[in-house]
Amino acid sequence: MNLIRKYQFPKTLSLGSSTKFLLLLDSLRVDSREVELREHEGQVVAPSGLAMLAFLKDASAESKIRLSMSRKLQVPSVIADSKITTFPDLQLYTYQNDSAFLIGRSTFDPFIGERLEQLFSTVLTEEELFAVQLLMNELMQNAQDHSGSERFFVYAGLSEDTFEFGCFDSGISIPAKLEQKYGLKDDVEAIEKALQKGTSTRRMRSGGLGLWHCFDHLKDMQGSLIILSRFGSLRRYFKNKKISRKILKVPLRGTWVGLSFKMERQ
Amino acid sequence: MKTIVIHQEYADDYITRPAGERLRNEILQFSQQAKVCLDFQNKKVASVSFFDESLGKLVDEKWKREDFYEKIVLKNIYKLDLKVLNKILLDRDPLFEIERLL
Repeated sequence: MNLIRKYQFPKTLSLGSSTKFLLLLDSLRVDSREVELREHEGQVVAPSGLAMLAFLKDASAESKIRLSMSRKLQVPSVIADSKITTFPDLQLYTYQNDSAFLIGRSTFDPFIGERLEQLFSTVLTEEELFAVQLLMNELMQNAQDHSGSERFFVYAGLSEDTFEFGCFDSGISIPAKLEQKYGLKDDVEAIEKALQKGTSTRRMRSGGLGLWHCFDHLKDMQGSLIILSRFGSLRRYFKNKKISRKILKVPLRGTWVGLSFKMERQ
Repeated sequence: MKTIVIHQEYADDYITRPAGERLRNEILQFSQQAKVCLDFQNKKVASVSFFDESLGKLVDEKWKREDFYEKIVLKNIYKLDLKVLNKILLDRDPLFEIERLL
């Protein structure tokens, strides 16, 4: 239990670097007393990167491992504070800068609309703003109703020419939830099943059509969707209709739904 | 006519399924005596779950489209919410005409 493990951040910490992130998360389960994260010169932390760091902070607290990194990084101070080794109060994760926000929640946030308006009404169109709010409302409700997690993180913001937003929970995961009801081949199939119209984990009454309807808006914006849940990884790119299915080597113990769209589309 | 001002009577929550379920039950109760007017005051709802649970699921209560036309009025609904609700109701009944609720 005396190891200090050192990790180099990817140059841009975002959902795009999720493989490295999953390896790092998994390594927290191996004996060590401290994990030191080293940033690059000009390190970029995308909005999804903020959620990754919050998740990492929670995971290190769960494993009672000290997490240390540069205090110069533009992230919630609670994440960079290596003295905090227990589960931080969720409110401490709330963070906002000129182009992004991160919120830690245990229930859905009724004020997400106001926050989006305040921060992005000059950069997003009325339709985009509405679509983001609609999708975030559904993601938060899903995390609250289905994940079984007491904590989840929502984020939104600009990363270069892309607007990204999403929800990240450490709950039971989509495959674990659906395998109770449906016979499924693997975790990717479970994610695809969850996106189908009419899929519900409820047995006694019909479920909803929340996300199924919402994705029409993402299609209209030619956006993309990434869902990581347990061993499943599904990426859908609505612009070129490409779908990527992958079984992860290292599982995510929870669910991450990340959505994005280009700001200037043709 | 019974008027329900959504952003007043559901000020704490006009987003979740439980809130939508509460509204559906109110609609079912009040519509037995009078037409029900849902006033949105041109404020956003932005929730598929709320609309599906409150209005979409009236179909599960055996409401036909004529029941909607007779019993519901939508007032000052935000234009993009109207689009969302239209999709939800068309999904339940492809012949639904949402203009008849305005």
